[in-house]
Amino acid sequence: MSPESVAIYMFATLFVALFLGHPLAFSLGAVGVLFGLIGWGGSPEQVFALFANKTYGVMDEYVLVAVPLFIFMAQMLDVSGIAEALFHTMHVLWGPVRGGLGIAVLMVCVVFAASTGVVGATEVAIGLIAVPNLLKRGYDIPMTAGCVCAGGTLGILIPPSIMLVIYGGLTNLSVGKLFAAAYLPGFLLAGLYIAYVAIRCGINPQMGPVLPPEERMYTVGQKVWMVVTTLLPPVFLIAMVLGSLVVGVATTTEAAGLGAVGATILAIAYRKLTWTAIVEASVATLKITSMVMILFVGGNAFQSVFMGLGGGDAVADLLLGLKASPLAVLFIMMGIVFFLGCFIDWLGILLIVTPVFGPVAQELGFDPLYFGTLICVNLQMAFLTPPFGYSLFYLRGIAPPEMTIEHIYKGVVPFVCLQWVGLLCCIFYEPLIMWLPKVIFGE
Amino acid sequence: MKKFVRAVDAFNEFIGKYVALLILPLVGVVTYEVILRKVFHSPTIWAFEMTVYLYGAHFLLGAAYTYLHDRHVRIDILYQKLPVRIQLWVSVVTFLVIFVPFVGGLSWAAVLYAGHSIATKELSWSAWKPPVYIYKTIMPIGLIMLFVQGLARFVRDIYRLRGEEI
Repeated sequence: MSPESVAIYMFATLFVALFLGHPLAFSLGAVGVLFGLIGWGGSPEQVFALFANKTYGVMDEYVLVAVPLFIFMAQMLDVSGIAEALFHTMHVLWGPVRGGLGIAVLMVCVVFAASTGVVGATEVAIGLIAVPNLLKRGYDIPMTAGCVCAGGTLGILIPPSIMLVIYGGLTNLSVGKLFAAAYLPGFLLAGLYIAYVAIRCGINPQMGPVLPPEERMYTVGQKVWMVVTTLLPPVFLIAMVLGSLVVGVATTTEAAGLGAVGATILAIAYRKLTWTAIVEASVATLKITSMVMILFVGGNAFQSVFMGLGGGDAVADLLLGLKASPLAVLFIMMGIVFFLGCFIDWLGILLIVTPVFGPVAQELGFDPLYFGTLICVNLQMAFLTPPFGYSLFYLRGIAPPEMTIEHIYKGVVPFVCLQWVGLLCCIFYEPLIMWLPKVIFGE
Repeated sequence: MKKFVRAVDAFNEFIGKYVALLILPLVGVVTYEVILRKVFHSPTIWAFEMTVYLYGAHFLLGAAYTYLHDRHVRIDILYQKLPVRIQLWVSVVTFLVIFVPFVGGLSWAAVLYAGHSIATKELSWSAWKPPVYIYKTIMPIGLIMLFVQGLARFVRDIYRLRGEEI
């Protein structure tokens, strides 16, 4: 088989296999098996020995140890119930503003995004309390859905982030630098969302009315106290995780471990830590971790055969052979990632795309850190684009009956557009990504 | 066969809870090492590898439990729209053409991989020199547990096709 046909047939087979509803990890692996056997002359021993080797590679990768730790940290934070408390504070502070509760949701999401590295637990915790709250006050249903989905998704972009940890594991880029690089793009997106909600509701107050005055009867002293008590704990966590990283006290994995301890301390402080809560958090952590890492194993199998048979070179030749400007090729790659994001989850895309596109981007003169961050910003959309988007599923799981899946789909559209705006800003204004790593790590 | 399915489900349900708790020593070891190294300036020789071992055992031994609870991400947009009977058929066929070749083949390779390591009594390269063959053995154990859980699901689907629920 020529490398070109390997590339085409493998992706075609994968796409068919994907929609059969079998776990993605095994579908990726099975396509790897099939083409490994055909392409390498049918020696199962060799093919599977390679896969076993790759699997041990995943087991032996110290950086990836941060993944379960960050997930556990998020689960513990969920146990502590800080999300609810923080939402209440933001709700009071932003109540007098049109669209204020939407802004409150986004603000809480940003604080949580900066203290955890995943999407699920945070989005569900905030969604559970915020959605009924906003709907009760007559907020526009699609906009409410959009705020929760888009805000919750920031969790995996604003550091710490397991997506960046995994990208670092895949490419040998420093996770610390990736964290630094993703900060400003993450805050840029958050800023865009908040501005959008404020402007929409400012023009049309029916979409997001101000709170009735009797609900905002708090003295300044009370407000200050609320801010201190609810904002301080997440700040403590952020300091623990990112502080230890930036000062260089700890590796990413150790920072994640400290974060897990920090979140547990908070759960104790809020008197929510029981043995049952610990077991539940552990079980939830196991399910997510195992899903992610087994998908890693399957993706590795697919990818090692794909690259081994020259599929990666074929795609690279195709892209470079276009003789288009580097920027045009970059847009093609971003378009492909966006398209895949509609159907496959973010990790599947990272595993498939990174080894293929990374070298192309480097060939075209893009800094690997810059390119990697663009991919991760782009993958924000993979969470929101139907038919397959995690954030949509999480919200659907907790949405009250009056919020239908159509509301959710409709609600995320403006936010996906804003994500494109954010991505374009990052593409055309490189310092958004590259400035902070330079300031922190020099060079 | 019904007994087999129930036994496998119960086994993985039971084991899974304990595997999940491995996260606690993982957090503990990582933190212990940071404190010893940064506060007392006396790093251990074993913590680094111990972390990796706990992490690997955690996700591999938990793979079957995750499968039991249907939490391995799958794209079921089309699948959900199918009639139940066709879903069962698709599930049976995908088990044979996707799950068996990959998970089955990988389990077999993992047995050989670990077997080689056990035969040579392989030790780690570090100063601590732990017997790394024990860790490598976790790979076939986790994968075989996953495979058997898949098999149980397959048998259950066959029973469902015949109109029996286990």
